[in-house]
Amino acid sequence: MVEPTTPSVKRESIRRQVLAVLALGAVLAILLAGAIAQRHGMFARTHEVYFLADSAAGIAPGLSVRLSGFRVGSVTSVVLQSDLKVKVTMKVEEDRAAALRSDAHAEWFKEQLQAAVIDLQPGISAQPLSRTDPRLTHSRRRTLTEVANDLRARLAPILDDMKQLSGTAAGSKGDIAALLANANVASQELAGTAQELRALSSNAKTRIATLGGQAQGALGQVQGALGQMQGALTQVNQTLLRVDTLVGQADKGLANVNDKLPALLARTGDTLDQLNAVARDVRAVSGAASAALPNMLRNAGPIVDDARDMMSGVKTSWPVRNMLAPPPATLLPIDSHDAAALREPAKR
Amino acid sequence: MRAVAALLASAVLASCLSPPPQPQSAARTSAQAHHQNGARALRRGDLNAALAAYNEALAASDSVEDFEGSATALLNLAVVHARLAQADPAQARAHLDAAHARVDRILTAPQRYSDTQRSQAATRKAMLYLDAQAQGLALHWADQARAVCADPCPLAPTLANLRAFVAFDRGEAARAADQASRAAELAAAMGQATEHGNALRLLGRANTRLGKTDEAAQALERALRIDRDLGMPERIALDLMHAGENEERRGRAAAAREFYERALQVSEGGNLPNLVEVLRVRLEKTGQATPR
Repeated sequence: MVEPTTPSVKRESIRRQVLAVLALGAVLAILLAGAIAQRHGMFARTHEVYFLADSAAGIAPGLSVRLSGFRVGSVTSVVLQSDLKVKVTMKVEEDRAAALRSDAHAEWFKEQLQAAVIDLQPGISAQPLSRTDPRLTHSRRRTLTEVANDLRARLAPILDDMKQLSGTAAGSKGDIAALLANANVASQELAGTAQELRALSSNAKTRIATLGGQAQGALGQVQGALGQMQGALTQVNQTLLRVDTLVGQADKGLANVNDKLPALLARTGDTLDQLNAVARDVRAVSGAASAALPNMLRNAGPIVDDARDMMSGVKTSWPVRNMLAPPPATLLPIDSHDAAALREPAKR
Repeated sequence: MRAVAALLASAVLASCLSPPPQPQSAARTSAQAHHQNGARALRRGDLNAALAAYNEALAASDSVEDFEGSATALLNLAVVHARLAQADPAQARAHLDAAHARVDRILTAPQRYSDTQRSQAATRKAMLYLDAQAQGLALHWADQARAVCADPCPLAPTLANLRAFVAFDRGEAARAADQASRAAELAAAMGQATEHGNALRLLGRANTRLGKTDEAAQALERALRIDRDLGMPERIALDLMHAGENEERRGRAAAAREFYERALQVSEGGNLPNLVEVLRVRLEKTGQATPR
């Protein structure tokens, strides 16, 4: 038979349990505080380094200092000196500070929407960073706004040049049209001349054959035939003179072409050179921009797509879709002001 | 604590056990998306994109015989065609014809479309005729719209404003003032701020013409206050310009110039080239050279 426990024993047991829970809580709190302190480097050995900056903009005590992307320390003080330079002192973990060389560099940068950080580059010099004067070199990485402004400043004159070049090319259209018209006239005249020469040679052949047949029968007609030959030759001469004239015209046309073509080609060459230069500049600018623009900007498209997919997924997923009414087809408001007549100024 | 937990649990259970939503057809979803695209295009002033989007919406609604959706698309298309007609005078005739064709689809099929939709279509048709200077037909269709619009008719202030404008344009200033006054009362009662402003502007113009310049000034000042609250530059500029006309009628050239200057400033800021041109001419006529 089990004896019933008295109330005082029961109370004592509860008291012990409560004390145990409180003790456990206190131990956990101490452990947590210790972990936080360790996380903040309170138990770590640190080494101070510094750099001189032109401005303290974006730099404040507590700012993270990173090495190879890992947090290795923080800014401890920012002091304006008598020469208006700003001395920025940082506390860096002892073992990480040992890796810094004499040409170590501290670069401040800030990505959009993220906190600014100081990125340490350990350097490649054989000499370690001086213990007595642990000074780092310093620079600032350009922000997205600065990159965009620079890009705008460099693109604007290029676009102006392109506009000017396209205007020049449009202006040269008239010269090219005149040149083609001249060449067309010259080629037509040459074709006409060739036809006349063909007709002349066949005519001469016929006449010579006729004369050959008649020479056997009647020598008396030789003189007449010779006369006809003379006439034919005269015609040939005349035709040749005309050909000469036409060839002269063609020559003149070609000379015209020769005169205009080099200048035009030179202008075209200049234009192409300028276009090449513009293309080179554009390539250089876009190359620089792609290198300089932060990753976030380059990834903006996929991020937006992801966000849109996510939102549409959420909206169509159960039970959210139960809560969202489908957007109705909206009717544009009917407003008497829509009638243009009501908006016209009064007749005067 | 237990009560809160039980409440939360029952809320979660209720949401989980709620019946699944009625699945919406792909065509309706597509039509709604096109409507939203059209509205966005209109907001950014891209009338051609809006036209394309509303045509897509109409096709989607037609494909499933969704008369409500097709009526909305047809009415929106009529608005876009009317605006295109105003923007491109060379194509105005074609766009106005297209706008009439859209609303006629609703008006000629009373068995498919509700009275509300038909009254909206008839009102739009009246406005199209007003733009085409066919005032008789505009009044006819305004009457048709009122006849099928059940009381309290939300289109009543708009229709009253149209009638007031027709009277004003015909030179019947007293009738125009009466109609505009009625339109203003109706709009105020129904909380339609835009129509209230339109009515007061028209009332001011009619009173100026009647020589009631004090009443005109009051009406235009009230219209200006409403349009300022609504943030509508074109209407603000018109209010100021008509106030200037009223001051000219009073013989106060300096006050008129002041109103014209203000109207010009608003027109320039609101990118309203037609009004800018008119106001420059007026300023020159009132003896004030424009600064630019």
